[in-house]
Order: sequence, then structure tokens, then C-alpha cells
Amino acid sequence: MREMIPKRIGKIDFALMGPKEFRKLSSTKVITADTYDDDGFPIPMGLMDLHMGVIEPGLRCKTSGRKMDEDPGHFGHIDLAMPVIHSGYSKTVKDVLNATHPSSGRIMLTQDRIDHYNKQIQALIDSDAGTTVSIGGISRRAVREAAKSKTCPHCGEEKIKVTLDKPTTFREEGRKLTPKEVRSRLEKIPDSDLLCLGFNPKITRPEYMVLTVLPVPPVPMRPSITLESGERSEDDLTHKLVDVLRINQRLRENRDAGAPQLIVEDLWELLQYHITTYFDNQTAGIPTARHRSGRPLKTIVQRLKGKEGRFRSNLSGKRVNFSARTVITPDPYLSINQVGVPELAARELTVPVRINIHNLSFMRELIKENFVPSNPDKYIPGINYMIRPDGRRVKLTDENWEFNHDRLEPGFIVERHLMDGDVVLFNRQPSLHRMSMMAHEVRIMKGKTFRINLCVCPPYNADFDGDEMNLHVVQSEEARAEARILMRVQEHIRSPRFGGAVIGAIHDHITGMFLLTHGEASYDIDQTVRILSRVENKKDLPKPDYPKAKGGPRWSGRQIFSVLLPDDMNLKYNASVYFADRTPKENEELDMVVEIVNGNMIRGPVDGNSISAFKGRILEEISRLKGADAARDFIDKVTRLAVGALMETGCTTGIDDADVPEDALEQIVDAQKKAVKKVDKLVSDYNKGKLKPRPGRSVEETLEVEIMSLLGKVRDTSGEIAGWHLGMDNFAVIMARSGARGSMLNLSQMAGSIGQQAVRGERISRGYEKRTLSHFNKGDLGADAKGFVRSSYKRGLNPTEYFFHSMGGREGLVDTAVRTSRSGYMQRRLVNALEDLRVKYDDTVRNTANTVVQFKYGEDSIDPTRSKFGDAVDIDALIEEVTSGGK
Amino acid sequence: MNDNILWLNKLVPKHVLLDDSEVEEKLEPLNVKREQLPRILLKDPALKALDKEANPGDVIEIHRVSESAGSNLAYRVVVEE
Repeated sequence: MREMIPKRIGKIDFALMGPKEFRKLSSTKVITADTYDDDGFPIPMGLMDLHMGVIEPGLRCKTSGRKMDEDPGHFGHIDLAMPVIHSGYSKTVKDVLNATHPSSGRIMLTQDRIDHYNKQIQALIDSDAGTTVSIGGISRRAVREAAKSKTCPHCGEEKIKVTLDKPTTFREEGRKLTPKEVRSRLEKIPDSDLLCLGFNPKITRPEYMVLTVLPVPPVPMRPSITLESGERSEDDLTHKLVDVLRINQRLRENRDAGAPQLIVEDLWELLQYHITTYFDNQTAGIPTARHRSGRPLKTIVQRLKGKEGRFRSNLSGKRVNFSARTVITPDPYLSINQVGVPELAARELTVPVRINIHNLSFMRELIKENFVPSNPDKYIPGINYMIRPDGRRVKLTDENWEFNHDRLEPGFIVERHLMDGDVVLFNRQPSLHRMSMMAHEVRIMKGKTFRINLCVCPPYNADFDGDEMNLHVVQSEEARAEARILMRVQEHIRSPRFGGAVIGAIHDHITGMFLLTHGEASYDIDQTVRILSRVENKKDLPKPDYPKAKGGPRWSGRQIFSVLLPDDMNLKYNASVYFADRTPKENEELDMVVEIVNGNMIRGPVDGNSISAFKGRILEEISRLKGADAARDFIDKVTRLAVGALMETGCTTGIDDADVPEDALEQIVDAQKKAVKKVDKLVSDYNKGKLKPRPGRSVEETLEVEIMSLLGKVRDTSGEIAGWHLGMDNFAVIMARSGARGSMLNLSQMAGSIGQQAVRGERISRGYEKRTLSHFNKGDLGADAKGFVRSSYKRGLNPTEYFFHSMGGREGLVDTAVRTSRSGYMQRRLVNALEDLRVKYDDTVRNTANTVVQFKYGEDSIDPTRSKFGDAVDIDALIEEVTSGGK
Repeated sequence: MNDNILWLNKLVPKHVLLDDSEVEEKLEPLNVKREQLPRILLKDPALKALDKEANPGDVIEIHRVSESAGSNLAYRVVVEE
């Protein structure tokens, strides 16, 4: 295989290839359209000639002497009876024909202009800075200028314009030009004129765009396949070449026999058609060539183009082994760093295990289990292949497994099925940040879906409406170690983007913890033990907060939660439910402030501000100070505890959660009426010209701003009115206030009023002339005419409101669609620009050329994942600790 | 720094032209060779506003205000084009 040694490429020329080179490259001339003889042997000088490579085992290539699979094959050639236009260049041919004069063959520019363009192009070539694009730009200008002149400055004759009938027919005042004429015109152009036409005369000539020789691709590029019936089926390219050869042969015979011009021309055009479709079977303006079955033939361009083409599918797209993909479903009892893998997938995915004295007996057991299962209901990993120390792969079968079981010894490698505890990489596209691909530990499970903990949904941006995810089994010990240390989920709880947690309790976990710990919530011994049994707890049950309660001692929810806290934790912060408009004192009395002393929660509820991603203070503290494993453990336990608490209290929401009393509705309507009246007043002021413009604004702008703020205010007040009647006994409110899901704005829009709709940040103003809809008077600037929605979602919208609301909603959809594509491309460019930068051991950031990009990583050498929201040190906490005297 | 109007702009950081001994002294601990430095064009307005004339190959020290670290020193080598 000496020929396979790679060679260094010094230079590549991209140019048109000419007939001389085609012949030089050719291993054989092809003359017969037949492929195989009756014995199934390739016919010499046929399309499957052995000179062009072999596709059958046993035969040898007549050019290089190599066997099948060693030989990439060699080109052949067909001599065309008559020249044929290369359809891919017909436009260039037209431009060149129009820029030159047929009798002199010169480009229709004065010598001065030719020299001028030549000099420009030559300068570009010499400077080495010229791309083909800029050279193309100059030559295009030259061609355009030449095409404009009506008479040739060299021979003085007039020029007739050549038109192109796509794809390959040239006409001169309606008269068809044969490819032969075209070719002879192109041949006439002197080398000295070629440079400004955009050709490099040292390498190429324009007449190469008219084919006289057709290269035949190597046989291995178009292998024939043998069907089960023993019938041979040829590749589409071979079919097309057969057509070309047949017509070529008939054309030659007819021409030589002196057949009528009409017949020769018909055959010539047919040859042109076959060659055009041989290159591209989707050429505009001609029918597609079809297989006998009616299927369009897949010719050269079809092989390369598009998503399924060679480039996007085979060269840019890569597939990997040891991977699996299926739908994901949630499982709150998994740890965040686990993934549930269906048995079906686990039996396909394998890990290579090198046998040593410690695992020998276990692996023998697995081999045995594979063939004599001890318990068919239980998943036990099997072994289907083993690799002997000499490198031979042996498949274990019913016949040979006992023999191989016995001879298994250290040094062998077995391919074991996946089992609990294996490290795998888990990924969801689009992989936009490093948290999109994390290492999980395998848990084999029944069913057919991957199971994940709900807390890892945000980093993957996954939900369970049919999302699928990919899983890759790590194969080597080094890779496994790397994945374990760098990629496990707990190592990614803290984000490098802003130095806080991105993985934390979500939705029901937050509701559950809030219900467990808010106010005076307490639980009897049965409930307490039931809730705590969901987490592994090694501490004793604390002394009950209410030992003398009726019906036995009761434990407060805060006590139950404190079991999860480290003993040295001291924190004080505001809960999610904190009322910003009341004093800290009032909030403290209302149980809106959280205080933790020595790992005991003494006041406040556990809600979004304690345990959620991004803002959970307790989670933040544990993940930063106690490390990744402690944080993982905390998240696992908190979520289980929350589920346990939810099972005791329950939580439900429905349309009646948006119920408000009749008089509250009246208040809302009153407030709206008042606001609308004020708007009308503003509008009439404006119409009378009495409105004073605000600084820096026109009168119209001032009017709009005033109205917007007025209507914004009324939405807020109606929300407030609704809010007074929606108390903490309402589960929708609990979810919104505790930060689990939804907001008070959502609720007030359901119960109170939806408010002003906007498109492009302004009140709705598009539609008909001077009005949005025909329901309103022209020039009406009032609230209702410009998209103010008085109704609530629950009461329902009237038709005009519904229309305005749809306009606002549509804008939101369009925005997200536009944003994703734009930010996706932005990210791609950014990644491509930065992908080879590295932080070196001396803290400098350098590229692959080792030049410095940053003298100190981030200018402060701080790893953001270890920082507190970007700061290296949590100064506030330090001061607090010191001033409190280490309490 | 002279009183060139350029330096009055708060977005223009302080530029200092280092002499050869200083260059060695500053770059050595950074483990950076001159050719590994980021570049600054000779025609850069900041170089024209310096007291001394900069030449290709000179090293400029730039005193930048840093969002993360307060202040930050960067070095650039002067190049012609």
C-alpha cells in the first residue's frame, strides 16, 4: 500500500480542464455502451472496463494492479462525435461570445482598454492579495464594457448579439449556433485577450467550455449492485453514460454515412440533452431524465447538492457509534446526575472492559448470565463479544460461550452491556453552552424512554412534550475520568456565565417547600416521618416545636427542612413573597424574611429565593461553600422533600382561582372608566391644541406617552384590586408569590384586566386610514380604538379587543422566531472566532499561534463558576461574620 | 502624558512608550516574547499623541480601566501595517 502514503500538496490550480488533460488522465477510451459479457465479465473498452477500477472481489485493476477496496479507480474517457456545450458554463460562454467579435476573435475593446484591464488583473495576481472574486469583478467589468460596443475596434465590423436559450442553445438573430460554431469562435480568441476575459491563458482556454471529450468516472464511483435474483443493477451514472455512448455512436454513424442534416442535428441535440442531464438532472428548461421505473436519475449535481448531498451529509455530517437517542420523560426520584436508560438501549450499548484478576469472576458471571439467565425479570448486563489478547474479536454464541467462559483470563477485553453506575454523556440540541452536554450516571430502567431529574431541564432547555435527547457511552478509562471530573452534572450547577447556580428546584419543588415551611404549618409524627422518609436522614428527629399540641406533638415545616441544612449556616434574606411596599419590620411580622441560625431555620418560608436556580440563596451558599457534591445532594433532597410535602398538603389550581367578588369587579370597571375619561380629556386637549409638549418630545409623542402611562397605571390598579381579593389561600397566588410559576401580572390579567396591547412598543395604530378597525371613527385616539383591552382573560374579550390582542401576540411570536435565528448565527460566528483560545497555566489567554489575547484571564484571573456573581470574594458575608463576632 | 486633546477622552486609556530595558523587565515575568504581543498600528492616533515618537518594534504599555479587576495593564508591540 505504498501509494497510500499521503503527499504534501504544494499548490492547487482551479481551472477548466481541457480535452488534452482529459485524455492524459484517462486509463482507457470507452467505445461500447455495454457493461458485462454473458459470463458477467467486464467488456474491454466498455463502461465497466477493468482499467477504470474493480468492484468485484478477486479481480485486479488493469491500470494499477490493485484489488477491490485498495483501488480508488481511474478515469476513462469518451470521444464525442460532435462537440457539446457544457451546460454549467453556458452563461460564461454567452458573455464571452458577446464580448468578442466572431471574425477577428478579438475582445471588442481598444488596445488601451485591454492593457488597462490586463494591468489591473496582473497587479492583483502579483500582489498575491487578489481573490478570485476581485479578479472576477474586474473581468466582469471588462466583459460588460466590451459587450456594449456595437462595432469591433480591431476589424471594424458590426457585431450581432448572441442570445442564450437556456440551458444550452445559442442564437444569433434567431439563427441557431451549433456547438461546433461556438467552439470555433472561442478557439479564435488570442491568448493575449484572455486575461481580461477572466481566463488564465497558461492553464485554460475558453473553448474548454465546449466539450469534445467526456471524462468517464472510475467504476468504484458508480458501482453496480447484484440483486438477490442474481440480476445486475447499474448505478444511475452508468445508465446516463450508456445513453451518452449510444447516441454518440448513432451520431457518428449517421454523420459518416452522410445522413440528412436534419437527422444529424436531432441526434446532436439528443446528445446535448444526455450530457446536460448527466451533469445536472434538474437543469431548468429541460425535462428530467428518468429511470425505467419513472424515478428521476440521480446524476452528478444531485449527488453533491443539498442536505442529503455529499457535502452536508457525508463531509460535514458525522455519525458516531455507542450512542442512543430517544424521548425523555421525567423521574423525580432520580438524582440530578443520573439518567434512566431503557433496557433495550442498554443491551445495545457496550463498554470495553479489560479483564484483570479482580473483575475476572464477575465477567465470567456476566457471560454465563447472557446465555443462562438466572432471573429473566432482572436486568443483568451481558457480554456478546470478547477480544483476545492477540486482537481477534470473538462473538460469543450458544455453542462457544462455555469454552470462552472458561478460557477468559486477564488481558482479554470484553464488551459489556451498560450497567448501573456507568458514565455516559447526555446531550440535547441545540448545544448552545457547555451545560448542554453533561455526564450522567446510568440507571437501567424498564420502559423505552430516557428518564431525567426535573432540575436538569433548564440547563438542557428540555421539556417533555416529545423532546428527544442523545446519549454517548464513554469508551476509554481516560475519557471516563475526564467526564467524571469535568462533566458531571454537579460540576455544572454553577454557571460560568454569571457565577450563580443554573440548576435548582423548579415549579412544584418550590410550591412544595413553600407549603411545607410557610407560616405556622406543622405536622404530626406520622406526617413528619412520612415526609422525612423521602430523604436519607442520619440525624435524629429534632425536638418538636409544638410538643403540647392537641393530638400529640407536632413539628414545624421549618424544622423538617432544617434537617437538610449544614450546621454552620447563618443567613438572613428576604423571601420571594416579600412585600416591597412595606417596611422590613412589617415583613418580618408577616413571615416574609428568612433567617437561618446555625443551620436552623428560625423564621420565614422556603421559596424561590431560597432554593431556585439563579436566585436561591441557600442553594447558592451550599454550592459555593460546600462544593459540588454537597450541592447535588441538597438539590436531590430538597426536591424529594418538596414532593413529600406536596403529598401531604396537595396543590391545585383552576379557573376559580381567578374569581374575584362582584364589588371588586365594579371597582375595576370604575377605575377603568375613570382612566378612559382622563384619556378622552387628554385627547380633547390635544385636539384643541391645549396640550403642552414635554421636554424633548412633540405634542403627539407627549400625548402617546401620557396615555400609555395612564393606561399602564389602570392596569396596575385593577391588578391590585384583584390582588386584594386573591389571598395566600389561593394556590395560583402561592405559586406566583413563591416564585414557582407565573406572576401576579398573569393573575391580574386573568382576574382583572388585560390592559394595553402594543406593537413595536406603541399603542396599536396600523390598519385602515386613520383608524385601526372600521368599528371606530376616523382619527379616534381614545383608549378603546388603540388597543386597550378592558376585559380579563376569564371574562373574555370582545371582538375588537380580541383582534388587538392577536396583533400583540403575533408580534411576540415573530420576535422570538427572528431572535433565535439571528442570535444563533451570532453565536456561531463568535464560537468560530474564539474556539481555539486557551487559558494557559500562567493565566494568560492565548491562541494556537501562542500570541497573547489577554494578559490575565478576565483581567482578574477569576473563574466565574467559583465566584459569587462575578466577585471573587463575598465581602458582605465576610463583614457580617467579623462584626457579629463569629456568632 | 502631555496635554493632547486625545487624553481628555475618558474612553482613551493611558499609553506609555516603554524603553528597551523596561520592556524586558515587564515582559519577563509575564513569560511573553515581543512577537507574541498583540499589535498596535503605527498610525494609531494614540501613538501620535505620545511625547516621544514610536517606532515599529517598540512596546506600548496601556493602563486600562477594567470592569472586573479595577485596573489592568496591557502591552502591545508597534507595527507598521
